[in-house]
Amino acid sequence: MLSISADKINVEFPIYDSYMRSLRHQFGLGKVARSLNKMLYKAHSVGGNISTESSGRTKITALNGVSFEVKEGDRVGILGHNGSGKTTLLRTIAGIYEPTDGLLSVKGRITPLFDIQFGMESDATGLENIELRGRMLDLSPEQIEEAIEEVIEFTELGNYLHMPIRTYSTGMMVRLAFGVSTAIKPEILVLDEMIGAGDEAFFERAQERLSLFIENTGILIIASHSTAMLRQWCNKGMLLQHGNLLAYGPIEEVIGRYENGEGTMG
Amino acid sequence: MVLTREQISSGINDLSGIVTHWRLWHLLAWRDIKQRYRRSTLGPLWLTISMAVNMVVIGVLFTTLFNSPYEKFLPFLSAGLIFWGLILGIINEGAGTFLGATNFIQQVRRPLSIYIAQTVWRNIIILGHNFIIYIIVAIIFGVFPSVISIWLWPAGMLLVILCSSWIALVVAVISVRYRDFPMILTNIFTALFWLTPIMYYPSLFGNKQYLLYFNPFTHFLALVRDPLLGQIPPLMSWIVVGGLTVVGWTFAIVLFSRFRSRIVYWL
Repeated sequence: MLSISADKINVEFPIYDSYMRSLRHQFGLGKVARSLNKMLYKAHSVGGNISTESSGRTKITALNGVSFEVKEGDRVGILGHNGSGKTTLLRTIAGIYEPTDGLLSVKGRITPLFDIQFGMESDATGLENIELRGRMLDLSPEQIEEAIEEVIEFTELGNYLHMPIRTYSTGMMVRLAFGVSTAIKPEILVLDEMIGAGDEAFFERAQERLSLFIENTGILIIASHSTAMLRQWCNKGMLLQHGNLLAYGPIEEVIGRYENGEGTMG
Repeated sequence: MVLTREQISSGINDLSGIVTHWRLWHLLAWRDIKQRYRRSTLGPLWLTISMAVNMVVIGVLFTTLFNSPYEKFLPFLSAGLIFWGLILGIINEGAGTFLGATNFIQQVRRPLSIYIAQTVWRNIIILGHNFIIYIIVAIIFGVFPSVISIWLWPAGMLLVILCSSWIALVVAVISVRYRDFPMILTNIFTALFWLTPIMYYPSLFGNKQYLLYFNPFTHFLALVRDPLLGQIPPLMSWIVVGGLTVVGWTFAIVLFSRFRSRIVYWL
């Protein structure tokens, strides 16, 4: 039984390269700098909360006490404005960021898909790129073989798969990246935004393949600005603002609140 | 520094990923090498050629300067340069390991230690290419390992690679957090190159020779170079490198376990 459960998870990023602040501190400009910073930080309407610890270290709270349960079969769409913590939440679920606080438990194998061109190297051939992606996603050699066959059939790239991908047109690149990305059968699929390119005919086939890809997964977590797409794919929604989970429930309800302007300003 | 039992077990769990994910780091290491030489006709053979050029120049220069017979000096020099290249490569490139893998680390969760394995393996592959030179030099000048020393060589290699690997892990963690560290390290190793008997015999130091043995890398080289030249490495070198490996790995595991989950935040 697949599931994801988060109990008051926090994700805080330390910001080290803002050390200029502490230098200014040393030159006696600390007070001025601090009040200036305060004004600037108060005024922001996007992004997580920025705070300065007493030690002078700056941190951004990207997720703040987020709790939720996701069960097998759930299709969850994550909504929120720029910097509300959507991507951070996806990466935390995918195990890339371990929460600085709180408990996250995931049952099932996660397949993250944040960038369809991830790991692609322009001087390597299409086939080499498929193999690397497969290995990165922990596929067995047999599964990679299967994926390759499927990609050959789907992308119709033929002999181009033996060519370095720098020789590909943009459309061909999209075919390959999309083909590889959807050639796996994930248990839990974590998606950031979605891709739409290539020619018309390809787009239709892509839609078809995407539906199949998504329908075959046990759990889907997807972040997007497109409410139309979330309506199509999801049954549940999450609304994030400044790293707080404002709402979690049926997708229509959450989209309603989002469209009413909730989660915009701070 | 607070270290919980969970941190230790997930740290060790991460390190054991090196065994289960060997296919991945093997592929990544070869990819690095291919990428560097793609579209060049000779490919990775350039590694061999660069090393050969380097060696001939230094060899001619130093045999003239020191007036020493080159049939003895050239095998000594080429073995020294090649193994120094391995150690330096593992440690120096080790510092950039996590920084260089940022794109992978932020896209998919994999044990972090596989990227260290990638760096180490890449440098072993490079060693393999450079080793051709040593074999040629050894054949030309008729320098061969003895029946006993040839058996000691693999043991020395294993120990030196193991010991360099924990250093790579430690400097990789530190370098993510303190971005000045890789530069500091480069400078330290430039100095160490001259302080390690690579281009000169330790005996040139006369009665001050013992000073060289405060440099651990003198012992590193003794373990891998001496057997090839038909000599038995001194017991002290085995003890120093063996001890450093055990103590170092313990330290590296503690440090890595403590900060493993922070690394991605620091990137």
